[in-house]
Order: sequence, then C-alpha cells, then structure tokens
Amino acid sequence: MNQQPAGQHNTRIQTQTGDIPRECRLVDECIEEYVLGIIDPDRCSAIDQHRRTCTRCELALVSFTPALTALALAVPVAEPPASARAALMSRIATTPQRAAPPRNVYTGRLDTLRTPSLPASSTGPAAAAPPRSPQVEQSSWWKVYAAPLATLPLLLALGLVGAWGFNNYTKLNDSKQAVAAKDQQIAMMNQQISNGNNQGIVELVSSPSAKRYALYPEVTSAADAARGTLFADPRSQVAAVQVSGLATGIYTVVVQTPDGEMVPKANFSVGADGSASTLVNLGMQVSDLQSVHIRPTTTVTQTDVAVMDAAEDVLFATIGPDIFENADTSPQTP
Amino acid sequence: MDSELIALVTQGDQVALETLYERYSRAVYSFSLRIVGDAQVAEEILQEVFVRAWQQGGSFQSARGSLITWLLSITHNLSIDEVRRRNRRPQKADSAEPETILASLPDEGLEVEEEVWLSSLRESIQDALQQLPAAQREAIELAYFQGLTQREIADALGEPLGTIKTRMRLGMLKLRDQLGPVVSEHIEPNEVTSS
Repeated sequence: MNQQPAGQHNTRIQTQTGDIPRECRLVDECIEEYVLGIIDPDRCSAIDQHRRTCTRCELALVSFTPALTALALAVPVAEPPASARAALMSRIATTPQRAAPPRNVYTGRLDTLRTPSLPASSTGPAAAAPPRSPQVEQSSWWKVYAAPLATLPLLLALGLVGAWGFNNYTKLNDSKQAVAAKDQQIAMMNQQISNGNNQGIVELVSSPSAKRYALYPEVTSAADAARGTLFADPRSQVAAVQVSGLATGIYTVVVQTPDGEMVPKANFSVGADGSASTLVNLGMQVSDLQSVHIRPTTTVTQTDVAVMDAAEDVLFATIGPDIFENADTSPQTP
Repeated sequence: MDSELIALVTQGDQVALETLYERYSRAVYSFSLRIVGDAQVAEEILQEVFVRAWQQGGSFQSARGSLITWLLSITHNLSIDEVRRRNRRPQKADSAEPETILASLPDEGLEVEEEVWLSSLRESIQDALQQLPAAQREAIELAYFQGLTQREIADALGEPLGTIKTRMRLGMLKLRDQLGPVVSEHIEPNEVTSS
C-alpha cells in the first residue's frame, strides 16, 4: 500500500498553503477537479508533469484512485450485446499492436562466422623455369614447340566451349536472380497491399471524424447475430465495412445511388468465425448515397434494380445521421 | 492474474484478450453506458477500450495499479470525451436523481463468476455512499459521470461556485477515506490513477 493515512492527507490538503512549492499548491487547490477529470487542460498538464517528480503530490493523487474505481463499479450492471465480442475480435484481427517485440539479433563474435580468408597471393617472382638448353634452341626448336602448337586448336576449342558454357551459366544465374528479385518484389507488393488495406481499415475505424452507420439485418429473426458497421471518411469516397455473425461465404457491398440504382462496389469473404472487414470505394460521398447493403455475392450479377431486391440483404444501412449524431434519439438501456 | 493476461495480450495472444473481455466487459460497458446514455455508443467505447488494451497493453504497469482501474480510466476518458464532443447531455441531469443512481445498486443477475467479487464490493460501496450527504454526492455525480466543470455545476444547480467546490472536495475526501480501504481490499493495493 502506498496510501498514507487518511487523516494525514485530509489535514495536509486543508492546512498547508504557505511554505510549499507553487506546483504543490496547485495540486492541493484543485485535486478534486484533477482526479474527477474536469480540470482544464493547462492545469492538468502542469499536474501531470509535476506528479512525476513529487512523491508528496503523487501519493495524494493516488489516494483517490480506489474511490474513483468504486464510483465506476457502482453503476447499474448492464450486459453488453452478445455480438460485441465477435465485433471486437474481428477488429482485433485487423489491428496491429504498436509495440512489436524486438527481433533477435546475433550478438556474439562475428569474426567466428566469417569464411576464412584465402592465403595471400605470392608477391614474389614466379618459380623459375628450368634453364633452357642452348643446344636445343639452336638445332630442333620446332620439335620442342610442335606438340604444344598441335594442341592449340584443341585448347582454343575447349576455351570457346568453356566461354560459351560460362556465358550460359552467367545468364542462367542472372535469370535466377532476376526471377528471385521479381518474386520478392511481388511478395512485397502483396504485403504492401495487405498492409495498406488493413492500415486503411484501422485508420478509418479509429478516426474520430469517420461517419459511422450501423448495418442491421433485413430479417431480424433470421439473423439476430448479424451485425455490421460502415465507417466512412467524410472527406473522401472510401469506407470500411466490418461485419460479424454472418454465414461463411462471399458477400458484396452494394450501394444505392441518389437515382435509386443499386451498384455493387466490393466483394469480401467471411470465414468460419463469421466476421470480416474490407475497404470499399463508394464512388461518391457517403452522404450522397441512399443506403448501403451487404448481400451474398451470388445474387449480385447486374445493376438491375429488379434483381437487386432488398429482401436479399443480409445487412443494410440507410444513410442518415451517423451513429453518434443519432445517439440521443436512441432509447437508453440501463 | 490480470498482469499475466495483459502480458500475453501484448505478445499478441487473442485468447488472453478474450479472457480479459469476459472478465471485465460488463464493468466497462456498464460504466460507459452510465456516462454516454446510449447502448450503441457504449458498445463502440467498449470495443475501443479493449482495442487500446490490445494496442497499448505494454503501457500498463501492474506495479502501479490494477488492470480494472486502468481499463475504467480509459473508459472514463473515452466516455467523457464523447459526451463533450456531442456537447449535450445524454440524459436529463435530474432524470434519475443522481444521488439515487449511486445509492441504488442492483444485485440481480449476479450469477456470473465475475460478478461475485463485484457484488460483495458493491455492498460495501453502497454503505459508504449512503453516509455521504446528498448534495456532495450530486456534485461528484455531475462531475464524474457527466463531465461538468465546477462552474457548469454551479450554474446548473444555481449555487455559488465556492459552495460547489467545497461540496466536491468534502465529498471526495469522505469517499477516499471510506472507500479506499474497501476497494483496495477487494481489488489490489498500490493503485495509481491514470487520469
């Protein structure tokens, strides 16, 4: 326990004002505003900074924490919707953690891993050839060089074949490296696309300016567990769709334009856990749309209003005020 | 242990996160719902709290406080921000008599294992709150659950600012002295607020 006796705090807070530092006086003067979270940002920052270095004030502030926890736990109990867990886990699946574990790096002696160096080349003169006989040079020089000369074409042919082979080997090696580089490039591009998609979803979902629209099942009794949310960036035409509680399969995001036309915009797959997230280019601002629908892909084959019957929806949202704008009109659930 | 679970969460263990969710989602959701007054918004905040636990679990320090305190602190910040963003109250200030909200703690539906310790704690909290004068409870209620400043509370109640400040201070000191030992006994010692 780092909590001081209650009476000690009480006395100190009410009586000490004269000979203590200005920052400590600030804590004493507005401690209840600070712990209740209603202090203005400037004084809040000052106290945040001060408490890191002042044990006296840190202890005084910490002493209120149990009371605040008690207040938070004292509210009437409400059960969160059953679909909330699936929606959370769906979101978690596309949310990267910020603190990545450090990569393991070999820190031992690197010289033990090195390939032993080749012995140094001899810098001295080449081994001396045996001294030629002056006699041979004078009388039968052609006999000495005939055999080597005879093998010259053969050596030349061998050299050509070797050069050809080496050339082919080099080309093959280059091709292999090029293929490997292309494979790596493709893998990186795929990763970037995947990361970009996930990152885009994360940014939209966590953006405070994103418009949010709840996607409801068309037939409530048949799909109680189906839930979804459309997160739309009001400054662009991009939106993210998160769904949960759907049957496994491929689904299509269909938008209804101001003219009433039903236009499929993106397909996505729902796995065994019933949840999925995807980015969608709506083709226009979300506020210009009449509604957004989630439908099994097999039923979406053309932009014919007759075919795009609303009864085929598994989820839909009418574009009006977003979740937060609509919040006060919803009935309160104690 | 919560600290072990949150350590697993920081390593990417989704099962550990689900365990924490199972354990604390009701407390988080109930607290948020009490502040924002809207089930759908409270659900959004519930998700956001656990997403932040997923993303920022590494910033939780078990040596400085319990996990439920940390989660409820995040919940309070998000919920009050939401209320202030809307710049209007989610429910009438006097719709349920603030002092009675704190004093009337339901004990039904507590068959869940998670609620056992909470049920015991609630009884102790209720005893402590009933000893608090109604005017002090009201001032604290308006500040903590609706994010009203002392000036706004004074205006809303037609009382001088100094009176509100005194009520709030005396009330918080009493709550601290009465609830501190009770909560620490039920949850964990060495709690540090992250407000």
